[in-house]
Order: sequence, then structure tokens, then C-alpha cells
Amino acid sequence: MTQHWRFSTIALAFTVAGLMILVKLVEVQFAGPDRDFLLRQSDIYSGTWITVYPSRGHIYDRWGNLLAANEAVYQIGLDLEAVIDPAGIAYAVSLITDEEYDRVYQIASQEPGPDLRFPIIADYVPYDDVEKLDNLKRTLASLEARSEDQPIKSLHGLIFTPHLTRSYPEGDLASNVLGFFSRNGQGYYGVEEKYNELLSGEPTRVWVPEDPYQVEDLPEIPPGADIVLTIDREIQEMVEDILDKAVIHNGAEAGTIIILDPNSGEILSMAAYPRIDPNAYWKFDELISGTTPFNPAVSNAYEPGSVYKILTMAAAFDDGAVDLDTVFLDEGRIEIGGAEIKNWNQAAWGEQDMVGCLQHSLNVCLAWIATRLGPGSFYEYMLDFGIGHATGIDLAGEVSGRLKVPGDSDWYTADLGTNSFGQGVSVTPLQMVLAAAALANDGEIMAPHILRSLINNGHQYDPPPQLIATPITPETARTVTLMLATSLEDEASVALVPGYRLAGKTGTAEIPTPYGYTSAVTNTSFVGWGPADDPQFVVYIWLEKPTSSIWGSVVAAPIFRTVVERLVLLMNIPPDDIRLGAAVP
Amino acid sequence: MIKAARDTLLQAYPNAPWRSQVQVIGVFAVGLVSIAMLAGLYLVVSVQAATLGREIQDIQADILEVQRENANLETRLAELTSAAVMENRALVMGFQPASEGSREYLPVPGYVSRQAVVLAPPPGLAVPQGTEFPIELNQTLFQWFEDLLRSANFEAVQEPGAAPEQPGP
Repeated sequence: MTQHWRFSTIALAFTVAGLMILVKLVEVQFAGPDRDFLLRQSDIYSGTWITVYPSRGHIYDRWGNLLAANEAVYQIGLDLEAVIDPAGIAYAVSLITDEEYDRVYQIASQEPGPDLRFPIIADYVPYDDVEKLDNLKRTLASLEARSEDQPIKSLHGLIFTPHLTRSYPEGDLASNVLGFFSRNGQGYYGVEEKYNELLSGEPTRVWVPEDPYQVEDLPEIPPGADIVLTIDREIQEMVEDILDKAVIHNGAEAGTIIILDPNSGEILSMAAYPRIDPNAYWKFDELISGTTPFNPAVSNAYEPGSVYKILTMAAAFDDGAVDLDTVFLDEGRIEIGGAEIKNWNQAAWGEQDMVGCLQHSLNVCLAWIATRLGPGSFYEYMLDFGIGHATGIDLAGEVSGRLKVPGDSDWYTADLGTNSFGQGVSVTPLQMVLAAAALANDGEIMAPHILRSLINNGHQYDPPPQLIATPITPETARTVTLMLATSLEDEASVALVPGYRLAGKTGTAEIPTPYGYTSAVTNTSFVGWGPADDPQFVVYIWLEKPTSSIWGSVVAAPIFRTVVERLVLLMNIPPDDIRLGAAVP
Repeated sequence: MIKAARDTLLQAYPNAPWRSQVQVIGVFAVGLVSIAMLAGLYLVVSVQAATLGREIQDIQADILEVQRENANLETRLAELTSAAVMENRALVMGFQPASEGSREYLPVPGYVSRQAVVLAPPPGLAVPQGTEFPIELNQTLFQWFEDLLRSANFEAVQEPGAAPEQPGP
């Protein structure tokens, strides 16, 4: 009986204990004061929300050469609770990376706390440095005996976290076109800024559970779109090489060369000097001064000077104001709107036909032609050529220049005369090359573009070329092209390339200052295209304030010849006799 | 005779109470073993599922690592074949830039000039989709059993040979 009582007591005790546990379980689960806290804790440790940033899209040249890619770099951090030897960590990190010993030591010797456990020492550390640190860390961890005078005892606590960063394998090649992608996750200038959203893709927040039962396939985060540019790497490199040497040789402040395919509006090359290496974009200020735009080809409007005369002449031919039989008696001066206009050499050139006016670049003749056109017709043509408004090219930072037209508060009749030879009007190099492209492409201007293809979601999209304006007829375009080719040949210009008939015009522009125009320093330029019978390229050269000479015919024309000599090889354009001989069996 | 046997049995139990105890213990033991077997089976399946889950996580980490390595290799390759490096290598090997006098053009019938790069198919062509984990890798034993019951139940309510429902006019 006594034994039975004992058993009952023990059974009762176990039952009560079990019930208490059960009650506590129910309380914790459903009604206890700690319920919310515990739920939060379980949520915290059940997984992590992470934001997955798609890898930034690649940028290729027209043949598939990589111009902008990504590479893995590392963030070096610490787990302060695991750090054994702060001095050793500081010593090793400062030895292998550029970090300062004192700074690293100060971080590594902090006491861990609720808000301080994983401080960051350095970021964007290249793989080679991280590999050295990691090897050292492993070696030290495997050593059992350590001598007291050993400078590094343990790198325990060092954490390496990889991530991707932007890389430009070609260095500064076409950097004025590419722009750069900064470490704050934003594209600046050029293509990187213009197509930032497409290149970046859509960042996605993903829940990554710790519970292995809950593991799911990470959603496919599509990478940013890849972009194929119209730029030809070989042509770009050739042009940059020539431009760099020319700027230095001529003592110029800056320079720009653009090569455009007039038939499609594709930019084959757009070179600028100076330019930066986008891999070290933070040195921007060292290379590019405050007033120089990142990409002068689209962001720098200036008075073009005599290259502009081709537009005035084309407008006059198209309008019927002049023709090939028109003769102008040049007396060396003309007055328009109260302003006296003279030729570049202050001389009178006598009777000149229209080819002569272009060949000798006569300001007086062109101003006279503008008066025959009249302001209404002249400015209508100029607007049709795209002067005074942005071209709409897919590059960041384009400016529109300025074309004063009748009706503007600051337009005067005298402007008609000066505008006719490219003074008092500002254009970007791209606007100028595009207007010239109308003459090279039977009067049609194709939309200038730098994007050749877009690769998104596994498909390649090739936007077709677009016609944006037809300022002149094909007959006018061919006539002016032949006139310019003849004028180059007649003056035995240094721009000529043996074997190829080219059309072109030099430009020497005075630079406006707060005290009027100065002739001491000029902008020298040359625009030309070829082959004259079937133009495949338009080349525009602009050197800013050269000191070797103030004349475009001396500075820019030889650069044009050098560029075209190599361009025809890279574009596989045979000399005219071979090409035309092959075309006519 | 049957009555005699039943009497003998009835008499045997009061005389040997351990028989009843053995019977109870036996039933209890069978239940216990059954539960242990189920628990063991569940444990094995759970461990396998957990292991697979971890392996999936490892594979995902490996995929990311491979993607980073690919990115590095692509960049490295592009650096090694960059215009400046290739030009220098060509010069070192004794090549000269082509000049006006060194070129010769030959007419080649049917020659197709260099074509623009194609990095992906144009829109309209199918693109292979990414792989998906089979459901078994994310399913517990109970979930599998539940699905089995559910599908069995679904099949039971379907009349054999019944025609599928047709949309009305």
C-alpha cells in the first residue's frame, strides 16, 4: 500500500511537471509577454533580405571588342570578436595594401559591441592583394608554435567579401565617349550616363532563408543590358594617337576629331584631348581643367570659322542664289548692316567664281552670297542643317550651340554677314560634322548615334538608321562636293591623299573675348569627306588655340591627310582607280 | 471441448498474471518500435533534405564565385587583347603598320566584307531558360505524404471515363 502511494506521488509529480511545461509552451507560443520579442528574434535568425544588384552590362565596340566590363574586387572587413592580434592585422594590411597602419590598428583594436562587430577596413582591393593576405592568414593559422618577436601572430578575424566593380580594359581609349561608372553606383558622362538604367538592370530584394528546408532557387536576376557601340576600336585608337601627337606638336590647348559614316549616322570615332582613364576617374581634375568639357565633341560650342562656308555655299546653290557660272568681283571689303567685312588677308581677290570663293576662303564673297540668299532663306537653311539645336545623339551632356535668327533681340543685320563665314554663330564639332554629312550623303542627314546594338534579355536589337533632315537636294550636295574636291586639288592642299578624291574645307576662327575678337589665337579646323563620288566617311578636325600656326590650312589640314591615309586602310577602301575599275567591268 | 479449453485459459490467466503484463508490454513495444521507425525514417529524410539544402546554398555560392571568376577572366582577356597591347606585340614581333606603298588590292569575286558583331539572336528566336530545382529537393516527408493523399483523393472523386468539361457556347 505504502509502495503504491509512492508510485502515485511520483506519477503526479511528473504529470504536474509535464503540464507546467505544456502550459509554458502554450504561453510562450501564443500569449506570453515575450511572444513578440521571441517572434522577432526568430525572424532575425531565420534568414536575411539581401539586395541583388545585377552585374552591369558590358560595352563593346562595333566588332565585339570589350570596352567596359566588370571585375571582382574585395571589401576587407573584420569580425572584432574573432580578432586576436590587432597589431599584426594592421601590419599585414598596411604592408600589402595602401592602407595606413595607424588607421587599421585603431579599427582592429576596438572593443566589439552590439553596434560594432564587423567594421570595414578597405574596399575595392584587387584580388592579388587579397590572395596574399588570405595565404598569410592560412599559413599563420596552421603554425602551432609562434615566436614572440614575430610581427604578425594571427590574422584571425579578417574577412574578405567579394563584389564586382567597373573595369575599362582599353584604358583611356574612347573614354570621352564611354564616360565612367563611379563607386557610388552612378554612371557619369557619355554612354555610362546616357544608358545608365539599361546598363544597371533592376536591383532585386531576395529573401535568403537560413533554414535549409526553405532554401529556394535564387531568382534569375537578369544582368544589365549589353551595349554595342558604333565606335571602331582600331579607328578610335589610330585617331587618338594622331590627335595626341598633333595637339602636342602644335602646342594646342585641346583637340577633337570625329569620324562619321554619313550614310548611317554612325560615329566611327570620336576622339578628344585631353581625356581621362576611367579606371582612375578620380584624377579627373588633374587632367581636365574646369572649363574644358569632358567630351568637347558634343559639349563644347565654339565659333567654327571658315568650315562653315560650305553650308552657306550649299544653301545658296540649293536656293538658286548662285550657280557654277556666277562670278563675284571681290574688292576686298563689303559692308553689311553697318559692319565692314574683309578677307582673311585683307586683300581684294578680283573676279572669282564660286569654286574660287571656297578655294581662297573669301569672307567677302560668302557674305555677298548670304545677302543674295537673304536672311529668311539663309537662316532657314542653317536651321535645316541642324545649327542651333542639339543633334539628339545618345551621349550625355550635349549642348545646342547658338544661332541667332532674325527676331531675336540680339540679332542684327550684320550677323548675316559674319554668320556666312562661321563667326557669330556657335556650333559643337558634332553639329558641324553632321551638317557636312548632308553634303556627303546626297543632301540627307541621318540621326547621329553611338548605339549600334542593344543586347537585353538574350536578344540583340539593332535600331535602324533614321533620316532626320534633308536640307538640300542630292544635286546640290554633289555639286558642292565636287566644287570642294576641285578647290582642294587646285590649291594642292596638304589635305590631299594620293589615290583618293576628297572634298574638304579648312577653317580658321577668331575667338571671341570680352574685349572683342582676337586673331592672336584661333580655333583651327578641317572638315572633309571621301571618296568624293561615294562618300564613306566624314572627318572633322578641331585644334583649340594652337601655337605653331593660327591657320587651319597649316595645322588641321595635314592632320586630316594623316587620318584619312590610315582610315582608308582600316575601312578597306581601295584607291579610286581600283575601286571604280572593279565597279565597272 | 471448447468450453473446457476456454475454462483452462480463463484459469491460466489468474494463475499467471504476467501473461497479461507481457501482452500489454508487447503491444506497447510494437507501438514504440513503430513510432521509432517512423521517427527514424523522418530523421533520415530530414537529414537528407537539410544536406541537400546546404548543398544548394553551396552551389549557389559557387555559381556566384564562378560568375566573378568569369568576369575577371573576361576583363583579363580584354586587357591582353586591347588595341595598345596588340599593337605593341605586333611591333615586337617585327610587323609594320600597313602603308600606302605596301598595300595591294585584289578583286575577289563574292567577297563578303567584315560583318558587324552578333552577340545574341534577334527578337523572336527562343532563348534557353534557366534550370529549376525539382520539387523533391524542397519537400519534406510529410509534405510528400500530404501531396500523395491529396492526389489520391483527387483521383477518387474523378469518375472513371468521364469526359472533360467543355466550355459552353
